[in-house]
Amino acid sequence: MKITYVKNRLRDALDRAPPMMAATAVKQAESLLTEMEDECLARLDVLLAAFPSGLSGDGDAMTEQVRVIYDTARRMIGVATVARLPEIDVAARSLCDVADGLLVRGKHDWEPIKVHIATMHLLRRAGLPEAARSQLLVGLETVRGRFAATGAAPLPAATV
Amino acid sequence: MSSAKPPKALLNLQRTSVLLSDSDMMGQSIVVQMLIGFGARNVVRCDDILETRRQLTNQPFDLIITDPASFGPEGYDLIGWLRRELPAPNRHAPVLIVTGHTESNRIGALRDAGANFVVSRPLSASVLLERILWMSREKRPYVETERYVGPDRRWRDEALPAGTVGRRQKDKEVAARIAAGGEMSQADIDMIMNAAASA
Repeated sequence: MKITYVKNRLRDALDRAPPMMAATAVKQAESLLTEMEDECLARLDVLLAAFPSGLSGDGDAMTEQVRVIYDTARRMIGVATVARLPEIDVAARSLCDVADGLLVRGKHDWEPIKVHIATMHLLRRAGLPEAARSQLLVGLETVRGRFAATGAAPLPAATV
Repeated sequence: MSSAKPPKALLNLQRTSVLLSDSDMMGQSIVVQMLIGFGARNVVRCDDILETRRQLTNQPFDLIITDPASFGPEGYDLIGWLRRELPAPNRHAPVLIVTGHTESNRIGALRDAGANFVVSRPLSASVLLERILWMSREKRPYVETERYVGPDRRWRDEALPAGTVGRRQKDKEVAARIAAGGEMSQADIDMIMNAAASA
């Protein structure tokens, strides 16, 4: 085994810059993210529309479709929170867990995927009461518990 | 959007060269906005693996942020290639993995990729800043074995458990100085106080 001690270049680079309070840096970053809200919302809508419709079939065709769905959901994670729809991030992560579980086990079952996609469309609707949004996530967590691959971490709470 | 309290520290990325590698443009843009908020002026964005490799080969970076899952299997090989094939300084550059989800059959690849830290999306500005600060304070050596190249995953900068005899070179030096009645540095004192406090 070879062990190498190296100079921390990141530390050096930070030391060369004029100091800025971390709180100021975070505030600036959050302000810039706020400017991205509309862009992220538009991107989220594109991704929601990209989910294939009429989900059916099995075998290799289903595997391929589930991969597309997994990839689409994975790309949503993070975007939805900036768009101020953090529950969709939670739902997208849950869908990733379910799609991954189905692929790992080679199971052919469209229902858990359909439930997730329908729920994400509901969560996208404006004016849905918070209690209803929470209830939808509780429902998804139950589905995820049944279909996710063993060892998948519990879902985080949606935070804004 | 932040749930974590910002750390009470100083940080400015104005002089830091950052490579951001993520095939998803929106995912990239979110991280870039945060980095700009932290003062970054030099962020090189790559949305494919070949361009990422080209950039890493051609110029030094102080910080590398990547989402390997966005590139598929090739994304997980990127850090291993960087750690094994590239010369210093990029070979030892701090690498932060930012990822939305990892397939269960890739968790091992992610763990063994050789990154310094892994953070999950959705990513808050506080969490990203905190991880960058942690990496800037890291003193971990880099280890190279047949199966793993990257920051030493066994390494912790802390005192010995109470009642144990140290085997590290530093432990012997401290013991020798104390036995000889020599002066101790603040680090030596901290080590003894920490051990006493945990007894």
